[in-house]
Amino acid sequence: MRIAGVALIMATTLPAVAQDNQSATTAVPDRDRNLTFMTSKGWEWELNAGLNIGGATPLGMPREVRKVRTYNPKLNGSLEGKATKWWGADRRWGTSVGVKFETKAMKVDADVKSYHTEIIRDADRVSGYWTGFVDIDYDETFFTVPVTVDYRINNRWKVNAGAFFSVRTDGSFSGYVKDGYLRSGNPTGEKIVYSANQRAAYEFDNDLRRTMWGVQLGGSWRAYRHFSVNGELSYSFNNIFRSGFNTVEESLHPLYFNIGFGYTF
Amino acid sequence: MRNSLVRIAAESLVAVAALPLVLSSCIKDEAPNSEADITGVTLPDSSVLLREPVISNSDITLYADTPDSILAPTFTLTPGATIEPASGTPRKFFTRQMTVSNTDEGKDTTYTFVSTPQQYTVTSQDGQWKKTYTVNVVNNATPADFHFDNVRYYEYNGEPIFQIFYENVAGQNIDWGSGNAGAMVTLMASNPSPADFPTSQADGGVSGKCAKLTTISTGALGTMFGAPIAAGNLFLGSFVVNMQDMPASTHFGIPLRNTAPVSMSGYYKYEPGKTFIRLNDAKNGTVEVPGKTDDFALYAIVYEVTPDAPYIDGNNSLTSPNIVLKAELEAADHKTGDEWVHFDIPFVQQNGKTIDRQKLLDGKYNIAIIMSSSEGGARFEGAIGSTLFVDEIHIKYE
Repeated sequence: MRIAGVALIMATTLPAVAQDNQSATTAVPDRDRNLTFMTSKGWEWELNAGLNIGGATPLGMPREVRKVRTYNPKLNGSLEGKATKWWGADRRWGTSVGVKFETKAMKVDADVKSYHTEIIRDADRVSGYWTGFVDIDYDETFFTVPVTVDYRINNRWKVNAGAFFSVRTDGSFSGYVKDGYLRSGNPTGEKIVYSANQRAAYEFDNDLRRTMWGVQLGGSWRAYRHFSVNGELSYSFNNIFRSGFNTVEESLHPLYFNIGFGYTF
Repeated sequence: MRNSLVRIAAESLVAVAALPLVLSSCIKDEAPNSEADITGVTLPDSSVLLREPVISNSDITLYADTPDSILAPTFTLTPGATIEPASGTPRKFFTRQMTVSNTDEGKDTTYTFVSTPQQYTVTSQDGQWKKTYTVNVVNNATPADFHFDNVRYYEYNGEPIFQIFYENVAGQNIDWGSGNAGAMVTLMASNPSPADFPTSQADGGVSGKCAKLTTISTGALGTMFGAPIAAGNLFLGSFVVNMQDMPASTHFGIPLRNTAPVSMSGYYKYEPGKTFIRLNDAKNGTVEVPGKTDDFALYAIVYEVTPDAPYIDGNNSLTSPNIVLKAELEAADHKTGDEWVHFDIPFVQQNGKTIDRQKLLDGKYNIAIIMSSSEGGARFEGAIGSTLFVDEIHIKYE
């Protein structure tokens, strides 16, 4: 959420900055001599701010999920510095490396039926089947390095595809269940009922994995000389939880769409 | 240009807004039910039922006032589940036993109804799960002597898990309730033997075997559930686990018929655990209470059953205005040590009430004997290791 604030400020102030630059009589003299030199060698520098919208999702909705009551993508910011080296004389192909701070989060309320779960504390383990209401609140902050291959379609459009590597700096996965029952062990086991106002909270912050990697696909449309609109879809190959954690049976993979604005130096 | 910008932004937003719709549209067909529960039971003539049927996870007790030994109960099941034998099949729940004794006036013939519990197997809709229920009908039995010599086992996946005490009263089986089913949820992690449960049978009784009630730790999982200790408890009634209001799990009482109790006698021995602890709400852990020594609970109550209060539970077993009689071993008289202590305590009127003869005949009263190795066990207060042994309880009637 801290990043969201910064990103919002960026998103709202960047268009103004872009326009200021364009209204200047000559843009080139304003630019640093080194920057001009680097640009002439095919280098491009960008600062991007955006919002991540999506969720940590299983590959295909589990059959046990009967109804998604509410889904809130939350306000997840991203802030990225990106360097691109364009190749060849026509400078159509390029490669980019970025440094990005981003938040991936979601909040989901759902009804599940006979959802198998296992809770392990120390050496103890209890498993069972939950039927009822589930609240999930997921929030992670990453330091991410994206590496992409870029292609310039024309003056306005750029597309890119590549991989990203993330290290988590902060994260939580928590929530509660209520209004339902747990069958201890198997579906014929002892029935433990939770009423609508009896919440059982859970918290799996320490079970989130530290690093992730995945693929991303993006596009950028240059609106002004220095100002562009970016969209990017990213998918993580890793489960958000460390291996050996079976309380949430499905692998949950962050799938996020990032929309934002960029400033090209 | 500005318009294009707005358009692109708008289109992107619409695409993103569609994401959850895509997710929710992926909801798959509902799986067939995997549960195999009996959720309700009735008899063709339901007026013979003295109480709502007591249905636990694998046992059903019907308190019926009927001269018939063959009954045809009908069952309500988890939707889609099937039952064998079928609902409505007449089965023999009692065997009539004739006893002929020689008296001065000649031969005296008496009949007793001997319980013959019947088993039913429920199969889930998906065919994957089966559960066997034992249905026991109790007909007008007045429990007086409790020997703690009979146990059967709560089974899970065909394995014996913990013991269920029952008494044979004039041929009919009366079950003791205990919190073992609640402790099981957290204990199963450690592959317990029946003797590891808070309530179990032990050798060395006053006569035959006896009941052993021990306060145990439920480990890290129990702590996580906010139930860090489990006191041994044993009571007339049934147990329906309620993790978030543990005292409400114990439904005390079985029907009392025909005659009112005068006193309760029996034997106990008690050794409190070393360190008294209580639940620390802040962390869901426990904290030591220095200077406090654990104590046991041992008492019996008779209370009136009303539509509003079909039973009394651990929250009001000493305070309900429906209580008519109580026999309680005063805390000041509690002894500790390794020797059996005999007790004989009278039933005393409560709340200014007296037994109404007609209500007694109509089965409007319940009687409960309640004991625990830690009197505060339901509130998770007590000392790990506190152990109460009980044997040969006798209720004397008028």
